Amino acid sequence: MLAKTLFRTPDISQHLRLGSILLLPREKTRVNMEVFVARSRLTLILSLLALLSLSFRSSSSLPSSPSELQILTAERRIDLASHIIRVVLTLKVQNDGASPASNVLLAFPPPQVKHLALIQAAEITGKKKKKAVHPLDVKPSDHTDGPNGAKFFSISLRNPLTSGGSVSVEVSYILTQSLEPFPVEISQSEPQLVLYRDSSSILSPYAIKQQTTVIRTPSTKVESFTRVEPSSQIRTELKYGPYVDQSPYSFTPILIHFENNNPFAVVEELVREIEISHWGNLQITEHYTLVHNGAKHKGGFSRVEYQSRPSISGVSSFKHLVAKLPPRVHSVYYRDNIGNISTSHLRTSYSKSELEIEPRYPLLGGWKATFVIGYGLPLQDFLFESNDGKRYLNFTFGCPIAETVVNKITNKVVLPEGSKNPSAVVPFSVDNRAETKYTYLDIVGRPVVVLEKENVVPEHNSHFQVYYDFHPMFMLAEPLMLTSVFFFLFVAAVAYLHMDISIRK
Amino acid sequence: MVGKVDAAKGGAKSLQSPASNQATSKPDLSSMSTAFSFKNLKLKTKQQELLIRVSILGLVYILAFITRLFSVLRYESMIHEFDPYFNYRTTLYLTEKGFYEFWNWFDSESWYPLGRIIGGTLYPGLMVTAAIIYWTLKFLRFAVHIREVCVLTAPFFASNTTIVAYFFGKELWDSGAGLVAAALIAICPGYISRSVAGSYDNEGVAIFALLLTFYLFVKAVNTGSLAWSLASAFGYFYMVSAWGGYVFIINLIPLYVLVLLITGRYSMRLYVAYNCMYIVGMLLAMQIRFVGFQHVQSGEHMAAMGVFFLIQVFYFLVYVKHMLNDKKLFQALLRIGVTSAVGVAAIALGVGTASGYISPWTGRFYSLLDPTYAKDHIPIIASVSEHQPTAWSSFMFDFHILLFLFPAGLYFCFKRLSDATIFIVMYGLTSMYFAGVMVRLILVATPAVCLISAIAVSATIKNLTQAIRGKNTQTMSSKGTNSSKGLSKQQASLDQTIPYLKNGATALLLGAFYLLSRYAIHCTWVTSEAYSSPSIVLAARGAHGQRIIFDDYREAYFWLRQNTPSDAKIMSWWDYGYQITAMGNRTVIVDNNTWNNTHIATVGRAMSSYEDEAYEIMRSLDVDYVLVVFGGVTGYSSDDINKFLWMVRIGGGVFPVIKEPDYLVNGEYRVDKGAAPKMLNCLMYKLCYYRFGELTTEYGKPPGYDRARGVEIGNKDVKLEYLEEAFTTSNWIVRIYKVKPPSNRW
Amino acid sequence: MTAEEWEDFRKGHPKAASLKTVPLPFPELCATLFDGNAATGNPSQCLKLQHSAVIRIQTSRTLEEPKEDNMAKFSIATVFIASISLLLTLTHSFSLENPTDRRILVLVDDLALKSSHSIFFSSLQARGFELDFKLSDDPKIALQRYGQHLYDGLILFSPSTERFGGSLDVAAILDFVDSGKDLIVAADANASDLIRNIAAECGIDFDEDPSAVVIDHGSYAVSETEGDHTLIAADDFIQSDVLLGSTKIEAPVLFKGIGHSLNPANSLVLKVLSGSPSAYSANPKSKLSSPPSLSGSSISLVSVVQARNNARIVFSGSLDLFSNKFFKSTVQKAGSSHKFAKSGNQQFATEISKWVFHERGHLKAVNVRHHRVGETDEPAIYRINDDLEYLVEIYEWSGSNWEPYVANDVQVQFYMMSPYVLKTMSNNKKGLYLASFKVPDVYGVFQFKVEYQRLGYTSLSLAKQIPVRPFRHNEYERFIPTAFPYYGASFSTMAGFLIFSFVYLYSK
Repeated sequence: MLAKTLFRTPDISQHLRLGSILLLPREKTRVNMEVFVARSRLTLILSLLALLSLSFRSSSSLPSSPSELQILTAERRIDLASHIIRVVLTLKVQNDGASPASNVLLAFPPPQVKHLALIQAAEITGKKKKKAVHPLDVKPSDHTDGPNGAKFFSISLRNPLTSGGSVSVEVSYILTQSLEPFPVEISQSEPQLVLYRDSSSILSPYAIKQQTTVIRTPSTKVESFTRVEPSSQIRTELKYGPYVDQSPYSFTPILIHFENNNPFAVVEELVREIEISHWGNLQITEHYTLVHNGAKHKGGFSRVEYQSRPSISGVSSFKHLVAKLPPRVHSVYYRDNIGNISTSHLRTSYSKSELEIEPRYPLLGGWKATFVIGYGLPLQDFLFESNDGKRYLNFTFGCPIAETVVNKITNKVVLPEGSKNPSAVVPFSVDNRAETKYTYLDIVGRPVVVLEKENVVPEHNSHFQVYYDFHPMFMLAEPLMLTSVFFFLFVAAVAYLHMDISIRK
Repeated sequence: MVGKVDAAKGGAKSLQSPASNQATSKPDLSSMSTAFSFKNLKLKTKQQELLIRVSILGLVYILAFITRLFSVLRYESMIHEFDPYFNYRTTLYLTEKGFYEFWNWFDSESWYPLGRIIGGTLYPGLMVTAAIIYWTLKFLRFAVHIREVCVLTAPFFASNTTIVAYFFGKELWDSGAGLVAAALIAICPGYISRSVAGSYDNEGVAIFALLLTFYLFVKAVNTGSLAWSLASAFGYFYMVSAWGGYVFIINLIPLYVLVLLITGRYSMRLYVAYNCMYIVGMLLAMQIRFVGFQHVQSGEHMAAMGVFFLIQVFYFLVYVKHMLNDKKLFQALLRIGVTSAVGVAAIALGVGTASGYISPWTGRFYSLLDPTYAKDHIPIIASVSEHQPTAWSSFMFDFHILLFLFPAGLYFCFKRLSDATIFIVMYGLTSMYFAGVMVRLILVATPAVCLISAIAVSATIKNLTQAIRGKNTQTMSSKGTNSSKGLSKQQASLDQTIPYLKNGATALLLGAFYLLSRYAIHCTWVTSEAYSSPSIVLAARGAHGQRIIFDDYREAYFWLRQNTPSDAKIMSWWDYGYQITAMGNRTVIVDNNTWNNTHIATVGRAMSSYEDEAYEIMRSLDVDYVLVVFGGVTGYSSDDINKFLWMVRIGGGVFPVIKEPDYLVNGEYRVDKGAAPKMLNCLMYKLCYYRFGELTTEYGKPPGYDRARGVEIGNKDVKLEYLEEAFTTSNWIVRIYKVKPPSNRW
Repeated sequence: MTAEEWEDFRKGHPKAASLKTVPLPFPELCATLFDGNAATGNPSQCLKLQHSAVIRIQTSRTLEEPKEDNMAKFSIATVFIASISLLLTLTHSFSLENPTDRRILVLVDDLALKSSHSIFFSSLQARGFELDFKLSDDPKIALQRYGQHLYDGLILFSPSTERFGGSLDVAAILDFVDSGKDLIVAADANASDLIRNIAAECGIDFDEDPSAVVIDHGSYAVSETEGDHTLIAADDFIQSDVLLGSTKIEAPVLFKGIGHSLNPANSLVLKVLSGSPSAYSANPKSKLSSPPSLSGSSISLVSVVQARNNARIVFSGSLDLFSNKFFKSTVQKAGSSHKFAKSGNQQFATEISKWVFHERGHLKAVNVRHHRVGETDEPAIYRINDDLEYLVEIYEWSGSNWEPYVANDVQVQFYMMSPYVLKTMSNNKKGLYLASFKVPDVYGVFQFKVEYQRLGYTSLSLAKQIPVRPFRHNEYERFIPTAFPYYGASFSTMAGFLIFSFVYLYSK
């Protein structure tokens, strides 16, 4: 009701509100610092928070929203089980305005935007039984009037939301490297504790009638979590809310300090070389730089402890990883630059192959390992001919190792010698480059399509295509070369046999 | 398997070709055509024989290569042992940075803090060879990795050696002997032991160079042509650039010349060959930085120079003799001339040595002449296992039937003395002596043994075959080659004496084939079982007979490479220095190039003194990590505890504070309760057995049971004050400790 | 409060980084919850016992279950403590840019001391220190949480404590020092073994005899009642402006307590105030049967330690030395007629506290660099006989800002197992020190070493590794006169050969 009435002057009210919220604490902060510069920071924080809550109260009294939309119910599930944070956000959006709204805005605080690896949205229609999911496309919006540099993503709905109508949207996004180890250094016998920061209330440009946030921790071992009533812990779940009538842009910082011993396996750089040979083989070579990105290892490493008490010694370390490879993989090798690594097992079935690899040594916090995995695949599974006569390769983009974050991935597709005008089609944005590579018996060299992307998660393992023209004549070049060489060799031998080159007759 | 079949085939064919030689004296093609179905394309006999020879040689060439690939099949394409890793590292540097950088390379990563001038302290032949092969392949667009090139260099040169052996044999005796020699040397274990794929060491190419030089020199002596002796000079140059063993050449050839002079076989051919070879060879050899002026200054090279002057004197005498043809006067002059020449030479040598211009002989050279020398004077040489005197078993192991064929071959050589045979005889005898002194020198003896045995085999079998078809002996003797004369004589005599000649000959022939095939089988077996394991990866048989791989070395080295600061200094016993720098890419205090005995002794002292004293030493060397090899868990016997006595000896040799008796209990090293107190508390013991007491290694044994020594250790609660365990490999074979910073409050 | 203003806040307080917007809903609740819980209770400890030391034991699920349960209970309990500790932890602490301490924990036997020594404490607070007074047996004392130190300095004015409360013990205190924090320890006649142990660990041995105090019949402080001469007027100070300030302490310092001797094995400990030759340490009540273990000027009354990581420690044999009573009281040394209106204690205590809390005598060396003469960028390797320059900037902390340190005795070594070059560096008065010298004619891996230890100052030890290579094959001098004969010989030989072959071929 109130919202409706005040709605006629949205902008001013909004600016007023923002000003009131944001300037107030900041100035006060400074004042505090000048006054109690010598006092404990504790007091300062307290006062700050007091101010903060105060400002919220004031804000919640001011109703407004940037557009006619409002969110009836919002449910957010944050999964902190691994070091890849998966968030599922279910919104029920209602259009209170007169004009139909075609897209919905999502807001993220800047630190999260930095670590946002992937964001997807889908529209949910129907109830449990005949529930249907229609994927919607999400793109960063240039909407810049967000307070404090909050960034926006806009979901464009399938069909514009008529006034009074409502739609339920399911947004799922993935954050990487948002768990910071604390304490920063642990010894072999300690478990790994990490901090996670977020807001108890969903940051949104729209007013939210009712919202809850459920945070799943890997275990019940939670050192501490910020209480924003109503909030509770039920075994491995922290529940915030339900909160009602949250005004737009309300943000109540929370901090969760909990134990997470899952491997923080981060591939700092992954270079994949996919080499096409039209003689029927697809050779993949992957160069990994793997690092344990959790709390740094402190003090010595005791093998006795590690062998005899695996449950409490080096719990956050990891020994082996599993790489999911395509079926019918052959001639797999696993080595590093000082030779073959003998500890790996390959399980193949007709649906998929699993390669279980062990680095030479267990990785404790901060330890590195570099290695190379190579394997061959039957070409006909991945190379097809499009109806316009072009050939195209259809292959997965991301890193085959499970539950790893890749900081920088470089996919190099090496096309056969003599193939023309290559072009790549990737479902998400990558930077694209061209190179030339020389390998066995090459004369003009092979065109290479280089695709680079940063901050890659397992969800990026979707297919991409590389189209190119190729004339089968080029396949014969190298065989012909070899045969001619041998031919001339024999001719020379015959010639030698039939001539007599001696000076003295 | 392959090896055996081919060897037999090679042998067989090589026996037929000389027969065909003989037969072709009368052109009846039918006999040929029965043997080979070349009816339709009418090859001339020369061509047929050439074809046979080439095909046999080709087979032998391939055989020599593939029989050395067992190690790649069993394990992987990797560099073996210790020294090869240094060679590999330097080759990598050469291919990356180019020749001049390599030539001037000052390596600050080894021998910290002294550093090592790599370019000036190594024989570049091997690296340059590999690099050239690599560059050629790259030019031909073969995208091979330099490692593969290095791994396959030794087998490649082994194959080339077979070709040289063929020509050498042909030069010594006849092409049949050449073929046999090629076949024998292709699979002779004594040679394979140093030239399997992956043992990327100087010997790999050096043996080729050695044999080549000798062959060319003999050729030069036989022909007396400047060209051949120049060629031999260049062969010698390659040898010098490849291996320190060139000293053997530069002493054997003068010796040979001397013998020829004494036996009155002096000839213009010899004069030309030796002078040209010595002068040019010397000048070329001095271009190698590591040799430099040694070639005219050090004692090892003096013999050559002396002989050089002597041969001049000889030439002069001959000239004088020719000028004045008066017996008596010449005798007098000869007496004066020789005595004065010898006197002058002796004085010159004496003065040179006294004035220090001519350096005395090195320790290794002494220990060659006097096997007991090293044990008393230079422990660092004695400590190397391959410098030990050879046991008879290993002779048998490496030579098999050649050991018996060798005397027979000598007999044949003496029966048909020529300059060439004299040379091979001398080569054989001297190298056999050296092989007896040092295990590793079996390698040098192998070609000689193979050649001489080849002569024996080929001569015998030729005789037998001739005996079988006895009738054409007459015709042969009429054909006046000096080779068949002796044979035909004995043939004739045989004809009168023995009745069942043919049957006996056939039986003997079969016996010979049997022996040869046994030899082939033995060689294959030895190669696959004994000589194909890279001592980096250890393989063992599990309880259920399955193969267990211990890859701990590389585990540790890679850990160092990845998880230590890039300027960390690693202290370990010198055996592992090359591997740490090559695989771990970290600075080491000492390594396998044992040029500075004091530095090694310092490390030995640190390892064998108490922790606090050791800490001082390690601080003074800025050591960050200490690496020890420990086999107590796996029962790996060649670990640091078993090498410990050498650390004590070498350390004690320089620092008298280390006294070997302190570590001994009535004359033996022990680690159990009865061990000497100093032993139980020295750094090496502590580092090896730190927290080992808590470990049950074997079922039914008390904790802390050392499986390598088979005892329960004496000091189970080892406390470390100045070091902390940084890493231990999964099977405890390599243990790495971090040196703590000095105490904060003291 | 959202990210942006967070940034502002963070700018003010670098260390508060991970503190970002931790709200504290119920501060008073936290305060109550502080009492009587073992905040560090980690249930996995109880599990350790259940594991056996035999290798390759498989841990069964049964071991995990109890963990889960008591963890669940536990976590609830510790929620607030943890959040508090975070706050304390993450506010800014000792930083290199500002070496002066901020937060100091004061442990006392009874809080009466707070008033009886108020002058000393207030002088500290006036200088901007946050003092946090606690009883030494307070159960919630902790110096660190989650690996972060909560204090920068520790004052132990609790001589008689037998054991501390909370997680504090000798090891914790030593660890505190070893991580670069500072410590003041004051003992007195009834010093506990705990204090003695801490002292012993730092190379200071208090008199074993628990009843012994320092007695001085020579230079005692004259008082109206002729006492047993245990109140000493000591004026045998160490001669160092850095330690005791530039203004000389005129009046003697009143001292009443036990003496100690320095462990000769420890090179880092110094006497600041030592007893007069006539002093000795014995029990004043009983007669002196045997000669006293400590006597004369070997007795140290107050001494300091500067650890290798520049943590600073002060040990005083007397707690009263810091008391208001002594600060104010007049002093007259026996034998001297001059009577000072005010004892030297206050000045002494203040100055020494300034030193120990890094308000004075703290040096830092920044951008160490070296290059060939005439070049500017640092080479990866030098050649023998190169001429090079080595530069380093040294600044001194004045309590408020960094000022150039000026001295003429800073030396640099060019070191490989032994110094090959040892050179005193010249400085422009702005803190930049420079030495230029020639690389010796020896190749190897050298180090530039600066080992600067001066009385009272933090010790600087810089080491920078640089390899030195020999000449390249083409760097040697060419065409030296001594080689002319060889050139001549070779060329003449060539000519001779040419001529000879001509003559040989064409002379018929």
